[in-house]
Amino acid sequence: MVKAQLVGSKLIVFDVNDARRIFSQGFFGKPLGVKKPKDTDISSPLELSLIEGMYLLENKVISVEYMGRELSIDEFKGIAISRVDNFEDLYLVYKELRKEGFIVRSGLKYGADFAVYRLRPGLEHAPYLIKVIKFNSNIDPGDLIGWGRLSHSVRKKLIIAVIYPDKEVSYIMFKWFKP
Amino acid sequence: MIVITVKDGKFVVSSGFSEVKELSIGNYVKSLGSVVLDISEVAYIIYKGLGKLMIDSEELSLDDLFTRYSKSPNDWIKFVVLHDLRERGRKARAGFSDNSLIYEYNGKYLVYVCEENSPITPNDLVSWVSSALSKGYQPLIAVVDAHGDVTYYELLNVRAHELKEVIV
Repeated sequence: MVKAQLVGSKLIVFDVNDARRIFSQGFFGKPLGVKKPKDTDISSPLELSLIEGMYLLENKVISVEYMGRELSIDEFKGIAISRVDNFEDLYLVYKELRKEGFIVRSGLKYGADFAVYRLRPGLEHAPYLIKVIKFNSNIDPGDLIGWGRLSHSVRKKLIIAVIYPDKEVSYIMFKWFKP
Repeated sequence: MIVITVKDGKFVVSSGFSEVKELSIGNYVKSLGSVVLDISEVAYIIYKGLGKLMIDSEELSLDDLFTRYSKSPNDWIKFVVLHDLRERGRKARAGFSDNSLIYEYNGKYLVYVCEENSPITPNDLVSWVSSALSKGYQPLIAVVDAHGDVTYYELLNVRAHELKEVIV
């Protein structure tokens, strides 16, 4: 099992061979210093988000070390919840999309939570942007225009993943429309 | 010329039925023996000079209409969107709630009207999509910004596995 070190709100795979193996398994994380990783032939440590780390930990791909000892899944989850806003909702959506076979990466640069690829980065531009929102949270419709306009400008479809208390997720896709 | 009066708190057409029919607005209410209009439809008629609202021999302006009869914060934006759709050649009319409109053009659409700075919940949207589809309409959302401009989005209910197909 690949060892990852918890540092702040990141998991670092320092061993380059391990980093390459993890990255090539599904474009998990970001090789240190590589802006747009398009190939899996990397040669630097790998930074994983805590969401990616949780997925890999649950799937027994990595083990997580923190302050000299290995963390259990529950211990890691507790830390992730304390360090990432809305961690559980984000992870719920991340896990579902990964299980469906999508490559899921950060959508931060587009103002979204996730950018979703059907194939892989380098072969296509991510066709979908996902925002994860609780069912009863408030949305300003003005923000909808902003999100929609941004996603339209980068030729992506905006999807809101709505989280219900029973952990069901409803996906609503927005398509700009000319009546 | 369409003439509208108020009866039992409803906007009732008293003359100009053929013009109302031509506009494809209003609903015939048997108990009143006439066509009843929504406030957004009355506003459109007044604004476009297609008719007038008469109360006790006094003709009411658009200002009077909203001052005296507006009951919902959505009344104005519903009128704005109805006007926008009609200017685009779509025969929009009031829908099934105080923030909805319907129209038909290459399909039947149910339009959820909302505005900037008036928050909605994601659950509102999920419910809206289900409700529209159950009535046989395609759900749209019309967002009115601070300047009165309208932006439309079609809403699609999708499942995660369906995203494997490119949805355009």
